[in-house]
Amino acid sequence: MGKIITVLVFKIKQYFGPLRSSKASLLFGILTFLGFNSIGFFFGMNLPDTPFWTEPDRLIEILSAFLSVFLAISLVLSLRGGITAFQAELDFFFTSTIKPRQYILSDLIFQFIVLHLLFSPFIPFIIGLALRLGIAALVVLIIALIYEMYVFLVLLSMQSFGILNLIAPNKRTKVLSIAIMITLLLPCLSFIQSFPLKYSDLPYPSTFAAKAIIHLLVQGPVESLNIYSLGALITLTFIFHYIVSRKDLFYYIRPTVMLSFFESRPQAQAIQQRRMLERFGPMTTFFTLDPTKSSLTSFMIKKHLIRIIRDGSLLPLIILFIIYGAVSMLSLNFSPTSSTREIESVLFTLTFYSALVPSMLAMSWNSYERENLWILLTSGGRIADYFKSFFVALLLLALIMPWGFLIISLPFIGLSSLWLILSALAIASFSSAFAILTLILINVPKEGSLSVGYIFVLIIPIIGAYIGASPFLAMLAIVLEYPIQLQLIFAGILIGYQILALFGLLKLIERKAKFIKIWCSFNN
Amino acid sequence: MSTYDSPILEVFNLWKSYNGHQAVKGLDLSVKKGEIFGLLGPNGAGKTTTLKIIVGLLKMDKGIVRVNGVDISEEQYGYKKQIGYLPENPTLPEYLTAEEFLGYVAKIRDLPSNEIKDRITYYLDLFNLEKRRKDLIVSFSKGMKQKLALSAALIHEPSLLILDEPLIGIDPTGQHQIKIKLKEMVKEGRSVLVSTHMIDTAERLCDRVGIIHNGKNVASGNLEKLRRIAEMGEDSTLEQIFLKLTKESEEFFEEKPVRRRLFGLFRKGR
Repeated sequence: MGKIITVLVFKIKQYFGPLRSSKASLLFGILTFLGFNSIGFFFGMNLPDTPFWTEPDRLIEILSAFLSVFLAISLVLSLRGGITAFQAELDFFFTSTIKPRQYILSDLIFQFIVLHLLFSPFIPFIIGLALRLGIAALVVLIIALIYEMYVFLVLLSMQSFGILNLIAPNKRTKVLSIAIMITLLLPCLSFIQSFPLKYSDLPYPSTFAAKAIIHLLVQGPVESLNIYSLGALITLTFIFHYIVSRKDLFYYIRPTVMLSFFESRPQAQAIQQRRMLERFGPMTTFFTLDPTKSSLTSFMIKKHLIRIIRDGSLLPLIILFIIYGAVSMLSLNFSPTSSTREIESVLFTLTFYSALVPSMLAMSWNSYERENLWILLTSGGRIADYFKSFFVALLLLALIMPWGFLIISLPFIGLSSLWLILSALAIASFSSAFAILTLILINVPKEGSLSVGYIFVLIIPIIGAYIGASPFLAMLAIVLEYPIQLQLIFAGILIGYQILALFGLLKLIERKAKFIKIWCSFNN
Repeated sequence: MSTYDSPILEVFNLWKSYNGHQAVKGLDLSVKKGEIFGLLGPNGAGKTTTLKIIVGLLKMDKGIVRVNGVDISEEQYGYKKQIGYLPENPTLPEYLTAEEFLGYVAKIRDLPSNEIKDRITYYLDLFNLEKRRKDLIVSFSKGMKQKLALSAALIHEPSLLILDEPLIGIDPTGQHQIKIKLKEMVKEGRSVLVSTHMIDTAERLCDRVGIIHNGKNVASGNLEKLRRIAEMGEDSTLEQIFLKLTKESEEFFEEKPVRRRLFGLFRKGR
């Protein structure tokens, strides 16, 4: 038992290390934790006011979908190892007398703790709901117990498939994991289209857990069958786990790249990007850079885009794209009688994507590209061209998705779409310009943990985007009440404002870029 | 004075401090056209700082640096067309292929489009990287990256090549190829400033050597001149000269305890 605790304590210290390393990271961690938990609590308090509350079947469907996505994500993680082993553990624990099963058990407990922190809003959500509905404490306790059973099942599955992927890293194992993932997610289609498979009709662990929880929440009878079924699935998973973990796993486990809690060091991000590049980069060499065929600006734009594709910076954007797309589609589908104004509101949320993308890409640039600037800085005055082309690359990526949606919506909501297109352009361009300016003015060191500078690089582009685009947003609220001729005049004035403001920002970028700091052993 | 004797690089009274540490303290040096000049010094002597100032990565606190007669404080960017630089640990855009990387450097160096492909092929051939031209740099070994970075420093055929520890991590064949290339450059009237702490490299490669210690140029010249400065015999090696001069320099700069003793006397009330 002593060895299990030693490993567990080490894992916790290693994982939460970045939180302890600076006041900024600790503050950021606490604020995030409190923020998410408050949202969970208020969501629980207000859930009975939503139209879904009157439809328990719909609630079961939604909760089951959420729990299934949770399990599917854990299976994705299992494909990448399923066991959190830091390099130091490989060096010191694996060479000690600890047995693989002891190690796995400590990892399971560790992941149980981490998962509860990451999904901590669920408990305040249940408490909020219980307070609102006046549910007895015992019932809340039973709900929490069902939730814990499900979490345990998720962790056991993740670790089992992770181990299977380690000891038998062949196509069959991967196909099996992916097939289970697809099976778990397939009924989500019923939210968008009339799809024959629904969660409530399927014997999924998420369905058993969701049914048991919702029945208790709407103060129906406790359905023991659901709880027993969930218990049976846990037992089966446990047997599977026992069988696959018989091998001496220490030969197979590979170190985890990073992914410690609030792991935010640019260096860790750079390691991640390098691994992505090693793995997926060779598949993307069909996009090539030809210096003989284009102007310097278009050559550099292409170079920026190639980096973003090859080093995996594009991947989070695609995930964000899918989430935004799915949420927008779902929001519209949940209310088939949506008015034009409601559709506009949903589409308006897409502009946040335009603000977020440059900020995310600025971080990946900082981790993996800043240090390459010595090539430009020692070769003469091309640094301004470099950043101008980076601006265009950011703008393209920030606009591609919102503009796609807005152009599709043009026939349905008419002129508002055009105003939203203009607003998205303003937000994306200001966010891109502020992202670059922040990168030039603030040097986030490669070594060290989360710093205030890092938070600035993340937040300033978003704030800058909304401040810069505020005339557009203000106009968006009132402009449709004016005749078309007046709207055209307003649009002309705003476009003029935007051109002037961006011209100023780009001039500032050009002036400051010459003094940018790069990571060398010391700087000017 | 022949054209070859005129300096491509002149550094006068160069000073630089960072984080409260005085890295360079009034350093002087001069590199002639058509020579390989070695900056030899122990770790922390100020070699890399000096090179970074010359290539424009660091701002000097005080002093004058002239590249081919151009004061770099007055003309901050144009002079860089004449220099090629290889840092000690070059970080390269690993997401590009070898060919794309050299194309990128050629493009930002304003090479004519019709010459770019030939130059890329020439340098990839020269350093035996031709077979890997379409591979991403991330898959290259340290030595291959070093050779590629050197190709990038050479691709625009600079008048002054500045190399910081260029042979570290490169296999013997690669080292030989580099030395031959540098000698060729010098024959064409171009110059090389190479910083190293490897004495045998300096001895075999360089026409003249500047011994840097504690941020100052303690002595410079060819082996004969250094022997005279160090007052050592004809059979003395560069290593012996280096050790003697750096030790003397250390003794010279060592803080004299006189004042402390003087205050000590007062404190004791004598």
